[in-house]
Amino acid sequence: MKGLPSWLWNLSVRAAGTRRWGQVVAVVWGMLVLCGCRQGQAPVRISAGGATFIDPLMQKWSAEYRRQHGVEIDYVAKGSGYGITNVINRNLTFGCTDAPMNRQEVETARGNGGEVLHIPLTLGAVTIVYHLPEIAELTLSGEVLADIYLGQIQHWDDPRIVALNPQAKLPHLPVLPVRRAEASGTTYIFTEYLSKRSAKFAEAVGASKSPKWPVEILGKEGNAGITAQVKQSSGSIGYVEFEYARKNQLSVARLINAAGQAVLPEASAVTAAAQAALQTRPTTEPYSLHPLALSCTDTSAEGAYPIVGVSYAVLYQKQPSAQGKAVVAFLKWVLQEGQSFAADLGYAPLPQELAQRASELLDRVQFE
Amino acid sequence: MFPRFLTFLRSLRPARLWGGDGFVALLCHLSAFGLLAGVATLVVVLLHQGWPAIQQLGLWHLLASSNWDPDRGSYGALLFVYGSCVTSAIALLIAVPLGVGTAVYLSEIATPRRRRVSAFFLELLAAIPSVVFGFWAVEFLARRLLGPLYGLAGWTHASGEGIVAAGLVLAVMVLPYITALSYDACRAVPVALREGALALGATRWQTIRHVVLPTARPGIVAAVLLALGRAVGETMAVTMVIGNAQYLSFSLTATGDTIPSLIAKQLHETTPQEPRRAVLMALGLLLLLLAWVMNSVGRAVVRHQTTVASSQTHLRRQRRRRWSWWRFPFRTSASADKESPPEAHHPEGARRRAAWMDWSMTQLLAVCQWLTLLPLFLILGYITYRGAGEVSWSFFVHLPGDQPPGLAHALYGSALLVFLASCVAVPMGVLVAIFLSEYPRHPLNGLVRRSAEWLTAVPSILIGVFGYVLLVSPPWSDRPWGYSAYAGAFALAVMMVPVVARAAEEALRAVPAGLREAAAALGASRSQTLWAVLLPAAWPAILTGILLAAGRILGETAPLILTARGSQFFPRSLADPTPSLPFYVYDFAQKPDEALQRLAWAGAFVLLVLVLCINVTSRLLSHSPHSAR
Repeated sequence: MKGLPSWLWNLSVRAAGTRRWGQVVAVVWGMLVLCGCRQGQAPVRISAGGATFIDPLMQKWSAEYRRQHGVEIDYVAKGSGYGITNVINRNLTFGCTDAPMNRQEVETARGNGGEVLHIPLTLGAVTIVYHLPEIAELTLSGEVLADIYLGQIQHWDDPRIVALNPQAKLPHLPVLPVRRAEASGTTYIFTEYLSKRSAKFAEAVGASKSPKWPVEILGKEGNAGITAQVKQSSGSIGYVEFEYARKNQLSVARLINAAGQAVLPEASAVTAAAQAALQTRPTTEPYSLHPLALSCTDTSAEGAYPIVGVSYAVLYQKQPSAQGKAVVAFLKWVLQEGQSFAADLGYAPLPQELAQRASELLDRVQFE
Repeated sequence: MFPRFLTFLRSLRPARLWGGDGFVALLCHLSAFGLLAGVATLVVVLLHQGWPAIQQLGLWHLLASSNWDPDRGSYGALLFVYGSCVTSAIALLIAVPLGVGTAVYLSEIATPRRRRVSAFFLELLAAIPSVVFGFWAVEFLARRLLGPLYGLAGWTHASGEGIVAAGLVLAVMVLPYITALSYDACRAVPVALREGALALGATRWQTIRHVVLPTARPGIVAAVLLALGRAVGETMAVTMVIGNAQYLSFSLTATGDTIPSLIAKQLHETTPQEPRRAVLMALGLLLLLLAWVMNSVGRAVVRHQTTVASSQTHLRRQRRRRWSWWRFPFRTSASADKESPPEAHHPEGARRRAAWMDWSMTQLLAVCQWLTLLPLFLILGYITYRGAGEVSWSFFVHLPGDQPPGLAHALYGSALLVFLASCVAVPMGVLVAIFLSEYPRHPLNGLVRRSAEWLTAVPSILIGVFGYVLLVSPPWSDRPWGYSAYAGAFALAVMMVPVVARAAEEALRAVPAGLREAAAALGASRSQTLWAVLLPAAWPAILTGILLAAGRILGETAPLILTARGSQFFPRSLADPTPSLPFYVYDFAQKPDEALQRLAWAGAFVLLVLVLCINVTSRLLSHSPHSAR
């Protein structure tokens, strides 16, 4: 290794040499000033983040809204827990979550920046996806799912699964459940449903964004992480928003709802669940803490899919003027025009009534 | 203590600071004290945030219980401690024999040419960013290698992720360190000892076995300790392959979690009021302690070795302790390692046996060397195979939301972060180096040097925590500052300063004393000597150090997750969340979409090429004939 040719060497040392410090400093200042100047003309940008459940739809909204109104929504999906705590910590202007804040979180937020509003944005189904090459159709029930995640069903040809699928030729493969590695609203909806269906599960795990699972379960980050894992490994089973399953062509299980029907997570089944949930005002926490929070799991309606989640935007009621107005305008757009994109992407639009009430709730935002 | 403090106060006297070369002296002192203050703040931050957990829950509850259930107020972190320990142990079990074998081979057997080539490749291996290791480990090691192997063996973990995969990738990551440090230790063995052994009729293997390795043992132990400190603190590569199961299982095929991986995933989803935040900080403190203990003991062993006056007495001392269990890792692996007794009756047979042993051990060591370099080629090959074809023009000019998607904003963000970090870290590092080399009698000199060493040993995720606490949601400000380029650049600068300082100090020390004396004889002041003589002479070596440090921070992910976060758009100001290339490689590596996966491969490839180019360039610069003046 002889090294560089001498002219190149001289050039590089010259360029970086101590004699040229003045120029280097000038370039530095130039870049800094450039960064500063671009700020003045740039469009409004809103820093947001949280749930991965709503991420595909949010990216679509972000792109559309940027095209129509020139406002950039910088949504970084890192899980509902991230969305909630970063709103509480005021690192984000608004966050998304599929699990409403619990009492403790609400109180922490009250101490930090006052009341927090939960604005429902869309409805989605937590879909049970599985990877069994030969099996195109599979029916599962809440009890069986609970047993799978409790480690009590080890193989796909377990009699409890066979009883639900008499026609299917289930292989003797180990069941490999996948969970979310971070605090997740999807996990919350899923565990809430399992807790409703199985007393064992309610006692051992309970409804939580990041529960303690009693057995060794592979953890993946985001809906995307679970999707990627189920897509790749044979015998695995996971829970993701329907859009992830649809886009990646994963096999989707039918679930037996409270009315005893085996239902696929279609938009109509999701809306049916939400309509049923809207009939009554929830009395249990965390839903009772927020005016528009809904629990749509395990509803008794005909044809309703049993694991349905509402994705909320959470934001402080008191907002700084410029950012706050932009956020409210965006969320109102989402509640009206934005709903038309939901169906294309495997979500269900909010019922008219709920969207209307959400818009009214947004009017409560105060600008400082 | 007190007189020392007085001397320190006296050194702050204005006349000393401002008189003559005051300004440079002031800057040097400020930088050095800044470094000290930085390290102190890091400890204070972790202590302040983590102490409530230790106080309320008790260390015993934290470390002895495996019941990690924050919802129900139970914070037993045993499973994370176990994960950290076991992955590091697996890494060392593999890396120590291989690394020491390679080092011995390179130092004792290899031709100078092969030595140079191998050293070059090992440095490349050390330069690969940890997120690239992680991506490779998930896609190749776990999915293509271990998964099918487990399947053949009939184990249920079809994905291949888990503790073994994490241990293997850690082994690959610490191999270059163990090899380089053991190599230095072997080269430090006096030639006279080797010649003596050979003159007595020992074969080459016997010389290695009875002379080189016992003498180099302290250095090798130090290498192992330093590598252990590194393995315990590694975040990204581990978190990508370990499987994130928060369940304590002692099976080797099990999945698990480690402390750094836990902090990286959960710290930014806690509020400061939550007990979980304090527990994570307490675990971070534990990690810091572990890393520093390993580092300090390792360095102390090295210092001890270099101060041992006579290697002869040293050797004798080694002989007495022959059977101590930590003697030499090869003893367990080499089966025919029995001492050959002086067989007077069958001299011919003994000689033949010794010759055969010599030949076979030479082959074994050569195999070690190939095995050490194998992962480099596997990684380079696999990343190139998957990534090179995916790099297109749109990769460099589009955003991830565009059609076709690209990572232009991440490239820009990375450049911005590294540039900003260098703006702070380069002057500061060089000034600290000037302080270290030009003020050797300053009472704080030793402390500053030690802090720089400690700072190098801090696991990168903790530097992220540091930046997060100080600049993202500072406890003293009533409004948080949010994720920003400032915070990211700060974290990167903290990582960069000690590296630059070390390189610059070595460079300054290498300037011949004659130059300095000549300048002084001509009547130059201290700062004139510094600007006109010392820095220009040392500049090429300093530049090498800066480039190497920049290459290293370019690939850092763990500190950026907590500070600069990421963004879908180009950063407009330095206060915006800032995307970076390693962050998006990590993010998109986990996505199911083909397009984003391809983007991640392309990103990994570009990152690898950038880092390796910087590395090779800096090495060419330092090898240039001009720098040897």
